Amino acid sequence: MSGCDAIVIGGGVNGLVAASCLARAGKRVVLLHAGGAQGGNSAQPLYALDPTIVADLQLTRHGLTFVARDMPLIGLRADGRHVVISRDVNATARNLAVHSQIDAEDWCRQRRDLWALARDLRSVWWDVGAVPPRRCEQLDRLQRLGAGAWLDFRFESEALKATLAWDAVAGSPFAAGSALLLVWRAAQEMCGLQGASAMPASNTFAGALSAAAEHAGVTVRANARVADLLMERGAVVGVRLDSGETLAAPLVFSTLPRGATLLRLAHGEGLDATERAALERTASRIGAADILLTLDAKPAFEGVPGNGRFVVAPNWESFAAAHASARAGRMPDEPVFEFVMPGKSAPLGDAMPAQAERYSIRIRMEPVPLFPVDGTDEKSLLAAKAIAALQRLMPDLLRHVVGVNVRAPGAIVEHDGCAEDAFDGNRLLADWRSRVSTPIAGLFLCGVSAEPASAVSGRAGRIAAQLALRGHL
Amino acid sequence: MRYDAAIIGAGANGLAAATALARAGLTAIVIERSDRAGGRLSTREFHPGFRASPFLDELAPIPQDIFWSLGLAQRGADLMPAPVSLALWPDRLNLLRAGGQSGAAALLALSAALAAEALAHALGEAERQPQKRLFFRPQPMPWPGVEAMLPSLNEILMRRDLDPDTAAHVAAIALSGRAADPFLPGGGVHLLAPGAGMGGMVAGGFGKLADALVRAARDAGAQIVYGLDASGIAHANDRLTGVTLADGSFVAARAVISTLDLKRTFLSLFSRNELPVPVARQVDNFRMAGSTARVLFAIERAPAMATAEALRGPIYVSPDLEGFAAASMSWRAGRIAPKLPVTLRIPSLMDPSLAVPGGAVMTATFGAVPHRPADGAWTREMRDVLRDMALGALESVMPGMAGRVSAAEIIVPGDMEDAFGTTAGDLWGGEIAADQMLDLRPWPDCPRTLLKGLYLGGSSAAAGPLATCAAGIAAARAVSADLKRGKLS
Repeated sequence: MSGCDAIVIGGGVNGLVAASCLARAGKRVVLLHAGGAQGGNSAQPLYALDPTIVADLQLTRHGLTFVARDMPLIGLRADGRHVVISRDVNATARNLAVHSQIDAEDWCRQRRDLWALARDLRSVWWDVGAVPPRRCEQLDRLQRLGAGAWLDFRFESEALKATLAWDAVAGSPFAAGSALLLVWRAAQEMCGLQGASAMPASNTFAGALSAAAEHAGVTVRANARVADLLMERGAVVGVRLDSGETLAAPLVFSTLPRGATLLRLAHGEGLDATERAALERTASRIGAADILLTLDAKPAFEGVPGNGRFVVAPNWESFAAAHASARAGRMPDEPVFEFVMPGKSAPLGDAMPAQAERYSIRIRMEPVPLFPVDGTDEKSLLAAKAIAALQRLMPDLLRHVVGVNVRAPGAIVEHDGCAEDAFDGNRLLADWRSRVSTPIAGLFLCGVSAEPASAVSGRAGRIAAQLALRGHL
Repeated sequence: MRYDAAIIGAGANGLAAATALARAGLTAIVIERSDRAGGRLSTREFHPGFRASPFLDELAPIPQDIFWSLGLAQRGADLMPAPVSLALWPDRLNLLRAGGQSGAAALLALSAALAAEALAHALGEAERQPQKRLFFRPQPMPWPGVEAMLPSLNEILMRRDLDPDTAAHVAAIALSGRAADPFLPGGGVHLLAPGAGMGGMVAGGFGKLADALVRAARDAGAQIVYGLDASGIAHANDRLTGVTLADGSFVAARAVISTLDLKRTFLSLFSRNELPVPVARQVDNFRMAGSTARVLFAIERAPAMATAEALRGPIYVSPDLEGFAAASMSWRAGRIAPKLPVTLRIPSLMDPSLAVPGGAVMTATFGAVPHRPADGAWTREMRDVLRDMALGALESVMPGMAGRVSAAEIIVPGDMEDAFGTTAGDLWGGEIAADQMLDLRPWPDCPRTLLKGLYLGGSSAAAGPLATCAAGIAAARAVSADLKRGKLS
């Protein structure tokens, strides 16, 4: 049995960050990655990337470049009157005036209110500590409010509400606590790259993280799927791989969801029946699908002011409808999704013919059912729905599509053996310690589900490493 | 004469408030728009020889101390405890005995206890002096029940390890007549606002309770005037001076308790430009939407049912969590779902005087019925759809019964709005949701409002959905406390 100081399970953003942080502190770290390529879910625009990570791990020196910074949030409307929400408050207000004079006049104030709340919530993300008690009253109220009601409370225009509702997509807009997600997103933007979202040039984010990990001295092992954890007297002592090989380490970091880690890897060790049942229940029935369209030329996309995160949703009720059907295991009639167009890019993946220039459209469709009840071919249906909706905006899209790549949520679940944890307003206000630690000594969670609300920030990996280094070594 | 308190609306809350104030030695007048007291507590003849309570079959409980302090028992009101309830699926049924030993009964008992605790807190808050905003405001005491209601109803049921049938049965009890999605976080709050099967019935119909409340108020020395419509609240220099009536007369009062719902209080008694912007916003954003429809059936020659104890309580037809979720979605979109949750009752089994000898009165209560359908107004055909659904449910419980129905009356949310004036026919005075309950209903200083001297004492107030009469009592206590402190001139 070979030994090291720490094992990190999962080669996604958080896994790489945790491994690098540990290695930089002088630990011998082994990163176990189940698949071949690394980088996990890093193809998304990064609105929440932790700037400390960029600085500490010197990601820019390892090749991280951005094709777009400060991407505005653009709500696409069928009538061509798109909603553009950018950092420029005045420009946004001017744009909103088309939809509602009241919203336009109010925008500055609303933005200020939102950011004031976000400043209070920021500590949940930024510090290891909790929310300052003086402001809890306001945040508690949001914890009981649905995002839909919150938006109705503040805005008049359907178009604006539908666009903003995307930020709360993790919970149904009728669910109590989903209003907190809107503030949460603002808080992340505030702490993140100090702007709206940024789109990394293709693969440079994952590449930079891998390079940083390598530079820090992390041993990366691909195709090493973990079968279970080895435990002695309630503490983790190592892992066993699918191949039967065992690795010993006093510290194990898992990027899998809490349920998958504790139930599948740790076999429910240290949990009583109630906790076990609770974990089984929290597994979400809905997920997100990533769809990558590869195009041979730039499609005609008229009337859109520049690049940004594009949201396709008729109104905020369509999020609720999508949630309801996804939970019942059906594909939403009218999918809501976000897409970005990173522009020209080098060919991606192995399935692509090696040609010089490709355009791509990256779509994130949420919520979709994890496992459709009617047994439809989920992947092709997802792609067909997305393309049909996009075609209304880009009439010549179909002529240019040369490749479609769908990552359905069900595939991820089958891989992890457990779904992501469902959205829970309580988790948002809980402190990092409770999200990162487990009942098993030496076992830490550092995946997206340890984050207050799922987003790629690398924060979970960093905090888990920090806490472990501080208290348990 | 200048009254200490004028109360708008002679429903259960208004009458209870008047009684409490008069008992405290204050002069109180109740102003009622219609020519009878009771509001939704009414029993009327809907077919010759057949009587029913058109709006409800069961009352949120009246807390014991309030019931006895108002002296309702001595004045002829006889509350009957909740009977067994029956949940019925096409192929099986589930019986739930109130106060039994099962996990479901324990959950209902716990919810009732939490609601009682929350109510005690609300009554305490009403008497407490509102705190001034100085440099900082001390952290308010958290309300009991706030933590318990944050998860979804489904989550709460699963935590109790109930079998699926019993869980669906409890959900049907909590959601009867409502339009809520049991899977949405925050839905646990429905257990705090008692639904059917958690409250009580009144022997002789709800009209009897209304009569007892009127007698209690009269005996205490409160004045009740009928047929007068309050049209406005008069105020000068941020202080309230009285109530103006539709006929042009004026009732001077030091305090006014409105038992109208929040929207009607502020939108019909004030003109829009009188309202400060934050109040107007809060009133606008308070969600009120009717979700209940009722069908009353008169059955001339009913088969013998007297021995069937299980039929005395509510009978839930096809209650299943997914069904509630689907119905709720349709309701939000302004449509009637193909399958609505139904609660059937046979009030004449409990109270034979409601029907002609040998006959029976049955009621069907639907949840998730939109107040205003997306495609326009309520039509004759849509009402008939409801009637046929009710007949179908009836037939599934007692085959052959549908053929014996001799008359049916259909009551949709709009009818309820017309009958007793609650906005959009909302029976709970505002959607039951996590952000509209307890300390946030409708705002933290309830029953006080921003206008000094105006109090909310109806179902939109914090205590409103928790128990019958409670919101009126809370408002009355706030008024007496403020008068005693000299807060009202």
